[in-house]
Amino acid sequence: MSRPSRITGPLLDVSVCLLRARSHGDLVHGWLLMKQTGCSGPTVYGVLDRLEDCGWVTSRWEDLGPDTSRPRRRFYELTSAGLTGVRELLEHRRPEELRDIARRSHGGPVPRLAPGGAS
Amino acid sequence: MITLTVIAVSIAVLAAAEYAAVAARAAGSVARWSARLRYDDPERAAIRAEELSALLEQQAWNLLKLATALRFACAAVRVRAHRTVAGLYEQMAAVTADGRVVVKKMAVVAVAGGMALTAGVIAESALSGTPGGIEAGSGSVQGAVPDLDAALLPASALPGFQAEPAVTDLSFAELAAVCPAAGASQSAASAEATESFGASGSAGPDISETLLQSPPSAAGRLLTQLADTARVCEAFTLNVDGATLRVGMAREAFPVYGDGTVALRITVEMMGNSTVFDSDLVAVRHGGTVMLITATAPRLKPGLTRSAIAAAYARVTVLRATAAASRAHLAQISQTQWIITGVLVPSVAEAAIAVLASNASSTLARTASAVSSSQALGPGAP
Repeated sequence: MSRPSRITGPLLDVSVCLLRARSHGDLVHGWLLMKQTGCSGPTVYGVLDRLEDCGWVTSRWEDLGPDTSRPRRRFYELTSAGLTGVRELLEHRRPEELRDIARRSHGGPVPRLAPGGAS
Repeated sequence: MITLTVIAVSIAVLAAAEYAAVAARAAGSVARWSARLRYDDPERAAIRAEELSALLEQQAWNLLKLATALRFACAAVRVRAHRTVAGLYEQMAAVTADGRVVVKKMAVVAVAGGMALTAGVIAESALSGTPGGIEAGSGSVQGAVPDLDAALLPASALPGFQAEPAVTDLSFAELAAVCPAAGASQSAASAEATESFGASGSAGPDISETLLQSPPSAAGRLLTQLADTARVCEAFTLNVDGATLRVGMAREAFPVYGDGTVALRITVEMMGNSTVFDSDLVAVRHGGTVMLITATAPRLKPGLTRSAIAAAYARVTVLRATAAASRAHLAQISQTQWIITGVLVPSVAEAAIAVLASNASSTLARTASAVSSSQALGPGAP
């Protein structure tokens, strides 16, 4: 499995948001990621570029009704490879946030990852 | 009063822009431009352009939309500048590759000129003259031949000859026993490489090439000592394997190559046998590199030594020029890293890169032209 070319703080921030959204079944778009992470737009989209390039994230356009005149938003979500990769990444870099996400979604502690990333 | 007026006018202009939605339209244009600038992939650029438009819609104020769009524009310019710098490295690599092609062509010209250089081996040597290989085998001597072994003549450069073990019948060491000046000619070179050749299927002639690498001043002294040898050891006898040899040594007229040339004609007569061997010993200095060619035969064919020296000199010159050109490219890339710092307007960055690439190309062209001219003019050319 390929990994993002650089692991940065904003990449971890965005990864946390994407993992949280997936665990809750939510859809996130660029503006929401900017607000949740506090990162600037160019930074967030730079991270999304890297995550898409390594296959961790997939995206799709928002379905708008014919009467809607505003531009479409684009939704981002983790792929299965991205889910594994992000969990492994957060396990090493931000274990507390990973456990917090697990607690909120399952109501219990998240099991530690086995070496190699298998959960 | 003036300050207050300026502030009031600015506020009025901004308010008008906000009210007239000029800022919103400008923001949309800037956002689309940013996406096109940032992404080389047209599909992704189109996606991001629409996405940024949607993102701007989330902003409540038109002026904020413009500010957000400008932020994307700045980031796009920065990304583009980085990408352009990366492109510079590719361009430099391409220019260097072209230079190597030029070197191959020069080698072919040399063959046509009777110097019998081998294009493939020259090209291989040129490749070893890339930045990583410049220092190899030459210490820190500026302008040194990158790899002395690769600079030696291949057997194919001397038609009718094949590589053979070194000829030791008349070595400096034996000469030194009867002529100390000859012994003093041996140089404490920092690097040395030797190859010997014999004529296929006959008893001669034999040719030997030795390349010595040392600081230019030491290389110059070697040639001076060699010239002194001919003056001091004009005639002497030598015992080799029970035979007595009468040796005569004299300076020989020879075309001047590089930074200096010394040519000696050594005549060896076997006493009581009337067998006479002629031996040419020619030393050419090019910077800190000294090429020593000896040719020996019962009756030395005129022009043989000159052909060998011409081929050896051309080969060393090409390798030195290639190494120097590679150094120039490295210096230009280093300069570029200083020039392109921070955020530059892409067109300015690309223009700067085009100039640098053009300069690098010109450097190689001039190098190729100079080497080609030196080979075409032959002796006496710098």
